[in-house]
Amino acid sequence: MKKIFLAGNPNVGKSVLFNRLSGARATVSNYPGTTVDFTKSRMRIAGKEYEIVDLPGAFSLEPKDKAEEVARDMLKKEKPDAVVSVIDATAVERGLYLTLELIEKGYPIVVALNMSDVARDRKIKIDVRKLEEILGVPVVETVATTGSGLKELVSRIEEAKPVDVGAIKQRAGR
Amino acid sequence: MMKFKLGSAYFAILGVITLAFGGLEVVTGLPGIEGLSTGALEIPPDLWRGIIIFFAGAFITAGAFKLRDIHGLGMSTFGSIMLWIIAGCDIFTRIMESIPNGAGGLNSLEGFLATYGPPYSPALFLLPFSLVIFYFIKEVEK
Amino acid sequence: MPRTSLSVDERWKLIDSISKQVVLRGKYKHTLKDVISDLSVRPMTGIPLALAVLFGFWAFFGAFAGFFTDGFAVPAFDDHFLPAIQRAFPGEGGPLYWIFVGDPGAPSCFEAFGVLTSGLFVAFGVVLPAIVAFYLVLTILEDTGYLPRLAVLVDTVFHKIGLHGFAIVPTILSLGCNVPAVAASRVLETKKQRFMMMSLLAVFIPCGAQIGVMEELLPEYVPAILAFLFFGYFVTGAVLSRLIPGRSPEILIDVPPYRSPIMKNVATKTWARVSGFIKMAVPAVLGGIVVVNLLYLLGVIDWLADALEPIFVVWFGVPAVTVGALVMAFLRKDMAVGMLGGMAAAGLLTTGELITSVVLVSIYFPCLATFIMLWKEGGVRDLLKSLAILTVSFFVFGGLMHGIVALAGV
Repeated sequence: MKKIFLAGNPNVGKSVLFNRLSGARATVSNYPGTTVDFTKSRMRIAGKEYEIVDLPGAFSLEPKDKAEEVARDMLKKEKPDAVVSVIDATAVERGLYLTLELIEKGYPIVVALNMSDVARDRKIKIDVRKLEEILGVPVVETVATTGSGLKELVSRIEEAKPVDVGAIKQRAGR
Repeated sequence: MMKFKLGSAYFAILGVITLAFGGLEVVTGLPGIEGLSTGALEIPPDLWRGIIIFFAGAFITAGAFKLRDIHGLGMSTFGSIMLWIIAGCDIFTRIMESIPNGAGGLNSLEGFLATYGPPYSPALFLLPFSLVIFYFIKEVEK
Repeated sequence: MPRTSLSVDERWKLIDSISKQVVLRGKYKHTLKDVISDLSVRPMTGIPLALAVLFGFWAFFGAFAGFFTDGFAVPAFDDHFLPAIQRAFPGEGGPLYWIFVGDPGAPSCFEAFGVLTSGLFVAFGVVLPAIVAFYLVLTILEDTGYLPRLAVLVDTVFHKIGLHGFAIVPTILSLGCNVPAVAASRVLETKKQRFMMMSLLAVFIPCGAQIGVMEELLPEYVPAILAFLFFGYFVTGAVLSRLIPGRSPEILIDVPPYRSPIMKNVATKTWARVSGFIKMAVPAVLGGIVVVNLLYLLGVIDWLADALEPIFVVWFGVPAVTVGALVMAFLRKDMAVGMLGGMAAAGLLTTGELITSVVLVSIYFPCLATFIMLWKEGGVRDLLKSLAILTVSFFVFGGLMHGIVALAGV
């Protein structure tokens, strides 16, 4: 069975996304650090069964607290077939840091730009196509609380692939 | 605009009244002093509540003078929220008290209704007047 | 495929150039939400709001639990269920009767102390409503995003004891149940902070089940008892912070935007927590009574009471009968407090002794479930260290409470 991991900074909505995707009931709250352990569940995409894992929030793969340690160890131990890097659309930079680390480690990535509704309210505009072009992996805008964008996210999980950071650097023009 | 001038005056006064009631609850909450109760109004002798209502009143007044500005409006709303928390608890407590009859069964209709009669706490009296803030929130958001 | 690795600096530079091309930040005007959010973390306005929130929490808890417990459970259990089962259960005076029904002449369920009387009454009549009320409010506070704001507000205070503001989150969770709170300590950064947090929670923070029973037995003293326990929490924290080597770094607390809670999430989360409680706590309460009653029947508790009497009477100022409750507290603290209440109702304890012994039960050994959790999270060494802290605190603060009660003349 293929494994999909949800990774991202604390309080970006990984658990909400996880509940939406799997129909599970992971605890969800509006403060960072609600998930301190991983949660596993299953989901079906186009007739295929996947295992889906909700990791504790982390800013980096170099852990500072025990919750981040859990996230790193899980990624190391179980080779995921795809990692959905969940990014808070109002704090893209912080999310990209973890995303780049994941890419450097060679994980196949899909980016979910979550909380895009809050970003819109705050007048933050993100050029999704451009971001996708630079990163070379699928980027999907989502609002996990309402479920918008989830269909697209699911349909593009298969497109997740490892990319080289050097190439990203070139595409970013540096 | 006239509306906002009136609003400022309204909330300044409402705030001061709230503040005064809060002060009264603090004083009656001190040890050795008895609570006050008239037919319709009852000051619960509770220091904690009193302090909260006092500050709620202070914040409502402080914001009232700049009601058109989001910061002034925010301050008054903030004070009102504190007042609503107290009033909400008072209402909830009454609802919970109105249902059982104290002997393991449901209350009679009369007993049920009697729970909702006076005397009321200051927070309950002030509650409807403070809801006017929603009008100004709508106005500013326009 | 070639794998390039970047240094931290290179990574941020790359992110910078990406975000310049991708993210466009429009002019952002402050909204009402932002203003209120701001006011709730500034001390001048934030502290009064925090008081209001805590007041609301407490008032809701009292009204909700009172509705079920005093309004329905107490009359139903004491007036109907208890006399019926005292009459109907066969073999009055025999060991089985003693274990399941308890005292055949007891006038209330607190005093009877049988599995089917006190056990069912405390678990479902007193503790369950308290737990539901607690988790309902807690979930709303969590989902609106108020908790991290509270964390910012209390940051300064917590720094004095070597923790940071975020420690308020496990502390508040702990007021519901210590077990998930110990797990939540994982978000703290250093080993020192995690160890301190777990120990302080296990020693000083009473759980919601226990508070529910306290609220039923001695409502007018609950605030004072909680205040005393928090005093102990901070004093011990300050001492530990100086004794334990290790760092207490600053961290920035992330404050998420206020959101209106989604009813469905509140409902599922509250239900998950409450059903978790029923599965874990109810068997422990009922099983605990069986164990303690067996120990009574075998004479173990009387023997312990005789042996420990000098310490109890001289140092803590409570009679030796309270030993039974302390044994119960190994398994469930709520039931232990219920037992003490029964003893007080039967005239074995004065109010002052009741208060002191409730404090003793609170500080004393964490309940079995918390004990196991401490073991899992910290390992044997940390567990033993926590137990050492606990033993010292038990004697220091128990003795202190004795002194306070004696001085106050309760």
